[in-house]
Amino acid sequence: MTAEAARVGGGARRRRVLSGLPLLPAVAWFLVFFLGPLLVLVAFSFFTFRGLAWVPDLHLGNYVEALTDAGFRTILLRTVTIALFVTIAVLLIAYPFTYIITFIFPRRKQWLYFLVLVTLFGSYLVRIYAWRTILGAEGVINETLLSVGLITEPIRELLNSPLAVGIALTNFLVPLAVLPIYSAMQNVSPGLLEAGRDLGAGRLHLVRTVALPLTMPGVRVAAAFTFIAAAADFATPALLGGASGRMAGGAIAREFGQTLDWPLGAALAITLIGVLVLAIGALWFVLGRLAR
Amino acid sequence: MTALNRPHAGSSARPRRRRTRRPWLSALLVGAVMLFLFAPLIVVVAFSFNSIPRMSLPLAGLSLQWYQGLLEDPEVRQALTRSLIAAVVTALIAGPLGVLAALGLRALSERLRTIVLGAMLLPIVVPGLLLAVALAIYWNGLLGQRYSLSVAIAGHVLLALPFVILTMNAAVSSFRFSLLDAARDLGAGPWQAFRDILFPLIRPAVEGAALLAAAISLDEFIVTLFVGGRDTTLPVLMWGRVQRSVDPSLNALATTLLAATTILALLAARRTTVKL
Repeated sequence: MTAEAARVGGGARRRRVLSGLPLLPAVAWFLVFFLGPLLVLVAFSFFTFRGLAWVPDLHLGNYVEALTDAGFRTILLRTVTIALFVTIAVLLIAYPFTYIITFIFPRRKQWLYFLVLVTLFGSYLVRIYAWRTILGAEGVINETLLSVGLITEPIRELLNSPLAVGIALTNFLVPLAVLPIYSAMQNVSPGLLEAGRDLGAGRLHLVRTVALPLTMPGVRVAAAFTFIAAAADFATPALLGGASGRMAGGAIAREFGQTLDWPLGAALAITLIGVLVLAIGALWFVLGRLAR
Repeated sequence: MTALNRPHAGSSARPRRRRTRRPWLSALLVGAVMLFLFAPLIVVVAFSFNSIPRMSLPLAGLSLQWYQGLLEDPEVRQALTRSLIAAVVTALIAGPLGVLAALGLRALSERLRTIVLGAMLLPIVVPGLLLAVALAIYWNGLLGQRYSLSVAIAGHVLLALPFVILTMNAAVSSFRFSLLDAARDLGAGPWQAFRDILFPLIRPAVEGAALLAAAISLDEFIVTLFVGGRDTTLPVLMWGRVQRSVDPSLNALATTLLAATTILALLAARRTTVKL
């Protein structure tokens, strides 16, 4: 028997013990509870909300309202701005951190990486709440400064601001960005950097010309993850943003919680997705330019 | 090029390395990032044991009064029960579905497998809020169902499935399927081959994946908020209370939630080899 014949025989036999049939329950779950709802969401965005009910008369009115309403435009612009700043901050923290643990402390990198993963599972809501207890008027920073006597009035601007939202989102999303950057960086040979150093290149120059181009796919994924998660977040601006930190997530949730105008809410959600796709496309382009 | 690929080539010959010139600066940066990542968690845990309600540093003294308050709060106990039910049911559904899916993926060609696996990972990328409002419309607007814990659990399973499939796919890909061939050749039926050969060998990964699913369910907030109706789970209860005030008993509630998800995730990590 030739090697090829043996392989073909093995393949045939494998088909006997394995079939694609076990995939069906999971696929069904995805169709019924994922694809179905998303398609219904799209359909609803073309409906009309009238007299506490939804009329399936397909039209574009909700999208016109979503794009022309000044309030929503302001919120959308702020959402993109905050998400952009958060993405930049997250990359500026996650990339050097991952680079350092991979190439400067290679013997401790797995342990440090594991610690970062642990914080990824440190409950989302708990973290947002924690920033409230840290930044609030009766929070850790203000209470401590008051008791030391450095201030006589609590600094109220710490909480309920876009800055508070940005800090909390950055804090929450750094671990998420470390994941893809870390796995991309494990493919960069330390010897390559070593050779560059021996040839007289500085550390920063090596990062820009060697490490960054090689890890760019990971950086792009990290940027996209971070941007999506930051722009579509709903709990962080609600708990930390106040009036000046309202973001698109809150506006969408409002149509579902208070006004019950689901078709408009659905149109707002899909508009947000469209903006996200455009923004991420731009982000990928800019990052690609950076690596050249 | 071969010399370049050997990271430690010649390191003993040249003990003077420039890479160790300023390790304290690097160590400082790593320390600062770690402090930033852990600060909120440390604050919540520390103040949950504080003896006075004021959140001022340094801590006044140790006390378990906030935990005692939680235990006596009927709302918290109800929410805890619901959270535990959701976690167990999610693990019991997502676990088997994920194991089966990972086995089914093996039967596909390399290309098809990549596509199907990629599609099944989509719930990780789609923003939680979008899924939550889509499910809200779907269940109530289309199917006319009332929101409840069961409806929320269907969402939990969907969110846990990608992670279960990733974990199981990694475990199954290192399994030698020739063992199953051998079992079949020796006369075992498909079910017997699965039960006696495959399952015992992938069992740690199955347990790990189920624990991960439970952790995801326990931590899930946004889908439950939108489709859970009046069936409040612990995170949703916390959400409601946080909006009202900064209350020291919330620190105890948050610490409990944090401890539960972290322990489950650590137990899961010990049983699996998947690199997320």
